[in-house]
Amino acid sequence: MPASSDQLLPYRPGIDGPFGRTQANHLLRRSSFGGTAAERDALLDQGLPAAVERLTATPEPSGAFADELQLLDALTPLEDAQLARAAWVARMLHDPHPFRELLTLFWHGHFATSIEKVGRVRLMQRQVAMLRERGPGSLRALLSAVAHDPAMIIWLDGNANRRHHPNENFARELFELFTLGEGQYAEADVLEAARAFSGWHESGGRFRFAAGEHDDGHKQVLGASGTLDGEDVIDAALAHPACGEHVGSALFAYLVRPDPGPELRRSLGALYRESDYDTRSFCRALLQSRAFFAPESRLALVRSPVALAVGSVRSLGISVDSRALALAMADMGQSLLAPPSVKGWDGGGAWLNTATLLARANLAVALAQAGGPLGVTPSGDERPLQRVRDELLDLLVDGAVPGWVSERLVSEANSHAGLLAAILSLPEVQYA
Amino acid sequence: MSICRALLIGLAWAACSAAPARATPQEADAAWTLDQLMPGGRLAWARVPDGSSLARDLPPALLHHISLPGELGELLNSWREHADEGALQELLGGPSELAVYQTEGQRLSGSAGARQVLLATRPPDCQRARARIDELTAACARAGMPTHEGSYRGVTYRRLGRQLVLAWLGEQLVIASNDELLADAVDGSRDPTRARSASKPPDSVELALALDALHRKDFKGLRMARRRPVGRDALPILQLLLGPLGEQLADSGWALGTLQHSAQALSLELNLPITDGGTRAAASAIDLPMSEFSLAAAVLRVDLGDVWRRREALASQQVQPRLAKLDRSISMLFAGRSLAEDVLSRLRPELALVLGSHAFERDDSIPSLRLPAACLVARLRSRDDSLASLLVVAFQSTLAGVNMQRAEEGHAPFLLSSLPHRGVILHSAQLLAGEGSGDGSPTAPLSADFNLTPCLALVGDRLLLGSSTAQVRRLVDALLDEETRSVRGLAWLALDGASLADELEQARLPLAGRLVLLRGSSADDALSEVDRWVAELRDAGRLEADLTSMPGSLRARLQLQRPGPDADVHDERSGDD
Repeated sequence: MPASSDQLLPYRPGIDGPFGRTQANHLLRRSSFGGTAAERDALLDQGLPAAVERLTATPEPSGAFADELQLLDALTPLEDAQLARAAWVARMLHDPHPFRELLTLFWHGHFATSIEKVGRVRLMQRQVAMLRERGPGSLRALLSAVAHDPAMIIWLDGNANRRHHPNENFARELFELFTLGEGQYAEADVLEAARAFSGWHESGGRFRFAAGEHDDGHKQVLGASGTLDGEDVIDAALAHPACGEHVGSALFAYLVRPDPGPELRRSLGALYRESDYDTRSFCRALLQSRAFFAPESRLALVRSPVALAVGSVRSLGISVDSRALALAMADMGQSLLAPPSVKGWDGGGAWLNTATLLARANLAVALAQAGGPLGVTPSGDERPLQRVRDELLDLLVDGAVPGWVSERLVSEANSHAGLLAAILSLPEVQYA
Repeated sequence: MSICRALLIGLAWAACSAAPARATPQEADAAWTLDQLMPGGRLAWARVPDGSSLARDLPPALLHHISLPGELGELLNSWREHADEGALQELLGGPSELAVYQTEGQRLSGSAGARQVLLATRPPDCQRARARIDELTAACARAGMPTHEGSYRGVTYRRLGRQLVLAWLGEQLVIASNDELLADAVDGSRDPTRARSASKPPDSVELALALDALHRKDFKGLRMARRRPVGRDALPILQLLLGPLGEQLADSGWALGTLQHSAQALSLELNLPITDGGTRAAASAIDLPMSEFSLAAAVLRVDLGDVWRRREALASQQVQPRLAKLDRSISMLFAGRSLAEDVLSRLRPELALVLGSHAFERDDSIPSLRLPAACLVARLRSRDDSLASLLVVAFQSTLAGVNMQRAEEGHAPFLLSSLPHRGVILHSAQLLAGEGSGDGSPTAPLSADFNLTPCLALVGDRLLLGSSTAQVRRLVDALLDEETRSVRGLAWLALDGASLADELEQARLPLAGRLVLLRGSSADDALSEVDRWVAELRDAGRLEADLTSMPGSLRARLQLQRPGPDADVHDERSGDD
């Protein structure tokens, strides 16, 4: 295995290995939830650097997608959590640049906030919109926006953080979950940081700085001192060496493979800091790194329910009922806008248990069934079953299923629907 | 084909496929009659006589508006891709008779007894129709369905898939949903002694319909509303309100129906037999306040006190715990009084609901999504001050509870007020915008909550409870100015298609947004679809339905009237048959 720092060097097609269909499929699954054979072939035509550049671009929505967003925005006054989830799922399904939503989903889990406590759908929608807008840019700007976000203030009891009665919830999660990780700060840092965020309140769905409730006294946080306010605390956290490692490793585990070792964590931290905490640049480096294309990274991530559902629909090129799909995601253990705790979803192997596997099988059947519970539009696919099988196995798992399984998929299936359901239920398809 | 006609045709066919049939009139030039073909077990019956305009309109409706489930649906879809407009016309463009019944035997195949359909028709051009059948067979093969040709008593039959078998009996085409039924039909055509039923629905109308009460207990209608949950989220209110009507339906006797139509109007009438104890006398008229903003109105004659006392018998077991809880909760709102005895029993058995377009009184309270306003109109048995006070107390208590709940969720509260209007006090509530609302962002769209300005008013012995103060004010004006509509019967419903289309148009974007979500439609497709709904609703004109008690029966009537000069329903009883 190459040295950790070498693992983050750019992958050189032709020298470090090929950039063929397998690698393009892998890139498409990790950066865009998944895609069709045509989208995969387009990446091959572009070559790796240009493909990564294009896949991670997040231009302003335009054309038909912009028209669609206008219609989805018209639903906002209905204040319906199911509709809000469905609208987000629709964006994931239809955005021509799905990396935007892939990254938004990452930050939604990282800055986990739940409608269960926030209560106001509109505030959750605004938080997701903020994550979408700020997510690919500077981590500093993102952290500042999160600290000012009304839903986050409600979620972590910001209104209870007052000059004479500081509430530590936000400060503690800022260090433990959002920036540094456990063991990288002292309890005194949390207490002092809480004072810095005192008076950062929410009122009427907006951020409100309650000057009378803000403690403007002298504070000392993570080595910085003075009359610090929230912005200063965020700067102090970003200056801490653990910040790049903590957030960079989380992005690595989301896009590349789980559990980077200590050495690789340090390299990731350095890379993230060198990019000036520019998340898009960092992600681009990850997606064209040698670590990304290393054999141990292929099919190394358990697909989250959202990734499985959205990726399957995008790969099959079908239309579905987004609301029903969001419910199916919840059945599989991932209810958007409602992560289980401040830590977000555990992810990895925790996605798979006896209940969620059944739900994943149900999703497979539903996605294969035209007009069924997901309202799938008939594909009209009349190609031979063998060809459909080969293409899907190639797209979804790089053809990595045993030969006898591949043969029985066709011999046992008596229809396209049966074949699709069988393929989407394969253990290999649960991984990306 | 307008939506109204397609709707009615769909209703008629759905009714046929869900329930029972009867004797058939004898065709002068037919070698057989439907009566001969299907002895006994008929559940429903319908006919389209020769020369009927339905013979012209029904086939395109089947092709474009009727969605069939299962294998038949797949076959029809497959055929739609290849068949032209005239395909079904050439098959079903002549006189047709349809019967639905229950099979038991298993002579030609192993099919179990089930609800089955037989259609007999005399195509206008037998030769072309035969060519169309060949087309249908080819479509079936393309859809991957098995086909089989065989012979029974000298008649060649063709089975397409597992749900369709057809044969030619001379120039008559017989289509059955299983081969057992076709065998019965062939037997009938060879047996001139097979008994004919004496009773039959009226002839010489565009479409006559009969439902056998023996199987009507399975018919999805009032009884289902009374006894069974409607879907997963049963509406107990529906079960309670329609239950007394369902109780009147007799378990025997024929339900007879007719359909008439012209270019501008269409009328469907169904007479349902009632029990001995059923309502017989014509009810007194109800004066319903109407304003020019009304979109729809409904009236139901029901004794709410009696319904609430008998709720255990009228509603399903599943909803009983909810009803018990509701009884306790509502009683608390009425200062602990008995809901049945102290409140509902003091209302007359006349209940009306008026749906109107929402007029907003302040520009700054117009929500992004405008919803129609609804007002319930009831009548007190006497001008009883104590009940009036109780109603106001309940209204205020309800809103106080709502405000507590909204405060917990961080939503804006309702501000209660009492406004005098032409000597009537309007007890109303308005959302306090900008105070702790869910989203105070100046650029954020105003929440749909702003559609709600609940209002309670008493005009003489009339109680009005509405979702919009402006609408209640208009209805108060209508009552004071005696702008009312007199309605008789047990139930009545009127919809104004053009006005509803206007309302729908205002919600064009969110409706299209829902299509994007629920179907994955593109923005263009979603908007086009909503525009099509609007156009069809506008074209549908005015719908009126009523349920009236007649001697020995309940008469259900549905009338559609399209905008245009010829608004009269043309009775074609004197037409050819």
